[in-house]
Amino acid sequence: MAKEKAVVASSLKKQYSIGETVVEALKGVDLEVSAGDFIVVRGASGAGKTTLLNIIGGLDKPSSGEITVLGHDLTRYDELFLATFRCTNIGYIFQSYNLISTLTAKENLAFPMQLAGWDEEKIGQKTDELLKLVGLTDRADHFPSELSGGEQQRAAFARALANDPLIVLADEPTGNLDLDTGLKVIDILRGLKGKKTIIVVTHDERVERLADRTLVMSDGKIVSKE
Amino acid sequence: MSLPIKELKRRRLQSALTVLSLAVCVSVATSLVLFSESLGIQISGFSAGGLNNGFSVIFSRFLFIVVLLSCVAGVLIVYFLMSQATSERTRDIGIMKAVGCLTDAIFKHFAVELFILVLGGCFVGSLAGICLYFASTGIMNLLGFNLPTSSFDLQAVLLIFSLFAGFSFILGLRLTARAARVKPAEALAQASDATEARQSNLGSLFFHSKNLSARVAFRTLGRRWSMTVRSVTCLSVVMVLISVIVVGGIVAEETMLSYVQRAVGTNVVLVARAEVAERYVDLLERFLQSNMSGSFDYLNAEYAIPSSVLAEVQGVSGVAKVDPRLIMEGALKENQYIYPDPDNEGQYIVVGSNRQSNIVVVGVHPGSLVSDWLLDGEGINDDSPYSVLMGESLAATCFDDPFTQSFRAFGRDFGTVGVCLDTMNNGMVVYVPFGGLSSVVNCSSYNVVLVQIDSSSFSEAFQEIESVASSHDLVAVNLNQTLDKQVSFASQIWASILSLSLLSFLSAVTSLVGFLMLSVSGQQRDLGIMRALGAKPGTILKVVALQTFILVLLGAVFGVPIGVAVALTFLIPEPVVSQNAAAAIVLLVSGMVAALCLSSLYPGRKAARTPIVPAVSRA
Repeated sequence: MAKEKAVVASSLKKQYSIGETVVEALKGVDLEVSAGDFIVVRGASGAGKTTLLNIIGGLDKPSSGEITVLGHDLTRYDELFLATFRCTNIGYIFQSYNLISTLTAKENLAFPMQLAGWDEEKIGQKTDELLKLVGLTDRADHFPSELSGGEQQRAAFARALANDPLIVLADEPTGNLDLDTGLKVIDILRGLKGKKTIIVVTHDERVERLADRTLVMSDGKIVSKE
Repeated sequence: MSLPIKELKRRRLQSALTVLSLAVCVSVATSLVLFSESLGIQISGFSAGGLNNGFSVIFSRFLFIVVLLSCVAGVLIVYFLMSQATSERTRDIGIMKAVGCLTDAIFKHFAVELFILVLGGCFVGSLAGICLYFASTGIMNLLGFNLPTSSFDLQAVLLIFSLFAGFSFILGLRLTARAARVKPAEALAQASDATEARQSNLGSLFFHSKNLSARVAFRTLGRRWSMTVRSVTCLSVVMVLISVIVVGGIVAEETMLSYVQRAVGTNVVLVARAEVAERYVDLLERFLQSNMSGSFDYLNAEYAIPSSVLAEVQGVSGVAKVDPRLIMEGALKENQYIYPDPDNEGQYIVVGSNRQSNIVVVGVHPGSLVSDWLLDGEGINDDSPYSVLMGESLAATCFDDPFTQSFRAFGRDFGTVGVCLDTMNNGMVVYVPFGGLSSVVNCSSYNVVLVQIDSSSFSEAFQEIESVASSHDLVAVNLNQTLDKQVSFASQIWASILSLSLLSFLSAVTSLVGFLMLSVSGQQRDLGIMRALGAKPGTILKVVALQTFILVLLGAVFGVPIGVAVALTFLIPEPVVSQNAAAAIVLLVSGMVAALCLSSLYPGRKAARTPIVPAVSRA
């Protein structure tokens, strides 16, 4: 039986204006990702990988083309819908961690669950579970500025899994990590494989080996599907 | 020079906000000082100016405090804007140092930026202030005033320019010097919002609130503690300003009108010969700067009021008081007071300089006065016939110390026991016990009678007094009309001053919104992350609005009581606070606090609408 499509993109284009210069970040991307797939996207810097991830995650809208995620055409919805969509369906791990600077690690993890309206007891249980998963139980009450880069990355990883999202998007999740922390993250990704749809932008061969497919991007296009 | 200019252009929002805040504060202070000077109020000296009476002291004090607070609020806001901008750029300083830039070069770079911002803001502000002044005087002249419109006090403009530029530059340089001294490693290690390192219990205290927006708002205020303290300080100063404008304005107006009413008396009818009555009304209306001409022989026997008139008027039903007076004009010469210097044996201290002035002298019976002046010192009594009550303008312009000095008039020396706020002859007046004046000028009759009538039977009693007067070839003049003119004149001036003072409130709000916008812009990344995680725009708006609301409330808690205390204790002696005034004050202060809270919606809305990707990507 054919698997359900989690992400369908067709003729996706994205243009930015920087002053008078127009930058074409995506120049017509076609993509289909089935539910439960583990996809790796790689390519040179400026190839459009992060832009593609942002559009799939509902953080940004394409200039033209269509993007359907979990059956929703994201170009048709307003910010209110997209906020709820991101909160309940997408777990995003940013390249630069993006923890909220005024909240502790534990509060950062709890934040998406609070947005989703979970009750306090359930939030407490889930945050403890996630902190344990990423090995940050003893750093729970520290603020992001008090955590190392690896710890921040693991906290960001745990936060992305907080609402049990159907899709996990990760932008260079091991890029800034030491060997040990990188392996821990890869272990977590391995554990998620098959349970969630995962799209990872990475150049890490260890992560690539986990993938069902690797897409190579260049100059705003997918040039190869391996 | 080109690098700092490029940098200022790159940080358009911050540069524009700093210049705008400074310009608005400078323009309001400039226009307030110029306008009040054209009204004849010398703010800097606390002295009576063109209005030429004791009431200008209240105007002067009020405007002085408003201008002073506007300056403090303006300089504080600009200082905090700059410190916020500097702390945001600590990382840039670290990078500049890491690539080999010397501390001196960094200091110069930031000092040039500061110089451009301060000079630009003050220059634009001064120009705008002059334009505002001409616009205000134009409007006042359309309303019937006759204010000069062809020139302005350039010295005052330069003084305000120098004050603002000087303070802003000195405070800004202090910040720049501190920032330039930071070690490169420390600077590079700091987050973009370097002021957030300090913890506070504020966040944890409220973090258990059930409302997510409230939790985040309190947590953010607690973590961004120095920013919170800065904001509350700014808001407190703005709240003091608001309270002084509202409370001071309303209470000072009411109190001043009450002083006028107390001096002239309410429901008072003047009975005299037609010529004397006209002269008396003219003397009262000198408060409105009406002109008088020629000398007048008050002691002319024809002007004497027959004693039977007093008895007849006293018998009219509804008459509360009959206050017969002998009024005349004369010359006064200040007597020097010379006494041994207690610190230097054989030396003497001289008080006064033998000044002379033309004055109005009124002989009265202290027990039957219709006037109830605001007094400094004591009232007069029949037992001391040569001890006088002096008008405040006379005391201020002709004496160094009216209570220790004496004066000479009609060939006799008089001493002063009290100084009163009076409108008669614009305050250039002395009230002498009738016995004393009578013996000095050798005249035992009165030339005017003031009759105070109960308000309930005013019209009937007035008619009866008119008929009594006409039967003796006298006239009866209703002084309520003169009183109304004086009250309306004072109200007009207050209205214009209050409207100008409101401008300083607006300037404070404009600067504050700029300050809040910069504060929100410092949180843009966190707010962007929240949105990326699924926070709805409404949640972001609530977080920002709630933060501002808490800050405004804290500012009000500290600022309003101080402002009210300053207004009631320092600004206005014997303040009059009617129920209506109290209600108006509560309403206006609440309205202004609400307006400040509402102003937070703009930065909140802006934050909620900023695209997520650029917000999250902010370094």
